[in-house]
Amino acid sequence: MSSTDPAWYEALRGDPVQGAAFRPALKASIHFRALAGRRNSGLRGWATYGAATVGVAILIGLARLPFEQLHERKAVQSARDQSGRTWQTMIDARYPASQNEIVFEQTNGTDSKVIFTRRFMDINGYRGLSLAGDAFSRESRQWEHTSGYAFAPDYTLKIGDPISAQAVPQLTAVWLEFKPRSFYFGVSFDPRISRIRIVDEQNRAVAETTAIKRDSDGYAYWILAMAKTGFHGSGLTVQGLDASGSLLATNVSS
Amino acid sequence: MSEEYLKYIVEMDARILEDLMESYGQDVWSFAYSLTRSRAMADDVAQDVFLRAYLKIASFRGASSVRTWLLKITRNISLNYRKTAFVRKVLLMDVVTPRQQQHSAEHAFLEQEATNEVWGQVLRLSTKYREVLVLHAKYQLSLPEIADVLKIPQGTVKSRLFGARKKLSLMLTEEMLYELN
Repeated sequence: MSSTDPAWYEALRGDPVQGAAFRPALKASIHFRALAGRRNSGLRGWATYGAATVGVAILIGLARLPFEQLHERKAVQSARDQSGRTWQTMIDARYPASQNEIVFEQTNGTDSKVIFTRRFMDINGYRGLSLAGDAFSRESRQWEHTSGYAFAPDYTLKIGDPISAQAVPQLTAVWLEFKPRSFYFGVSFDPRISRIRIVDEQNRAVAETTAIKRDSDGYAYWILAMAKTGFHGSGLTVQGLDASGSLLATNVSS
Repeated sequence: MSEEYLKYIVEMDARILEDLMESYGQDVWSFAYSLTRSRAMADDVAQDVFLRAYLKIASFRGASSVRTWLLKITRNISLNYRKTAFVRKVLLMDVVTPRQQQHSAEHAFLEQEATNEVWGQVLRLSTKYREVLVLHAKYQLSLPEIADVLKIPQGTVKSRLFGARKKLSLMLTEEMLYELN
């Protein structure tokens, strides 16, 4: 601080907010994403890899291990593209560094198939869970490249970390844009949530589903298709409800 | 950390990434927070900053310090996050938050979150004033370095800094008078 600086300059030398900031879990998440990106894309950078891939990484403590396979995985795995390759084989070839488990398949338009997967990777004592979607074009017979790319918003959870524990989400969703439709793909950690609803700013329901797949931990996975083209996710709220329709959770978005 | 070697490498390994995060993680996060005024967004920005640095280290040629380079990336990504609704994230909490609370959160949030009164007022400044003041006061960058980060002429940095200081001094004085009354 120079002699010409105002006295209050000194108060700005510290951090703007108290408490958790650049947390260990955040650092681990960066490691996870960096190494995943490098393994998948080499020097091209993960920002450009993976046509139509958006992930939400959730770092959970090793106490959660081992993570059981999804119910119905066997049935989904048997699905094949026109050349006879299984989707699982193709996804594994695309993301060899992670443990990939297909959760949903969804036809999108006349030409495209979207494969929703959860992926696991262990980095530095954390287990990363990523939710992602990849679109495959039947016509071109290759993974599509989207017109735009969305960075994955990451959520970091570390069981036993009191700071993170304060902000443990009960439900996390990622918005995935494909043409002609976009999707919300999410996971719920609250076993009571059995219905997902998306409402607009006037609290009108614009999408809803009870089609939820649960794994053996009670985690529930779901997708919601958004028919509106050009939808960018703004102004909408995702709600988690129980079987009777009572609202258990709603979103905090930024 | 010794930064000299960074301008010669074309690919970063996990150890270097760890060193960078250890040395500059908090700086990056705090700058991201001061621009976005959101913890969640600062988390996202910080991740993207280090991912970009990890993948684009070859573009660092030592024209500025590593810290200035990272702050420049932070600023670019923060502005992108603020400008676009393309990235959508949804975080469902186990407590239902009334919509009104979400809308009125900003002022209360800034006051509660800020480390001290000065930071509280800085966070209420316009972005134009806030970024130049934070870079000068907190990060102690020189005027040429600030001009580089903000991609504006040094003369503009100087005039913005003058305006920001004047504005903040006024705000702090008003705050003091308010408390006295």
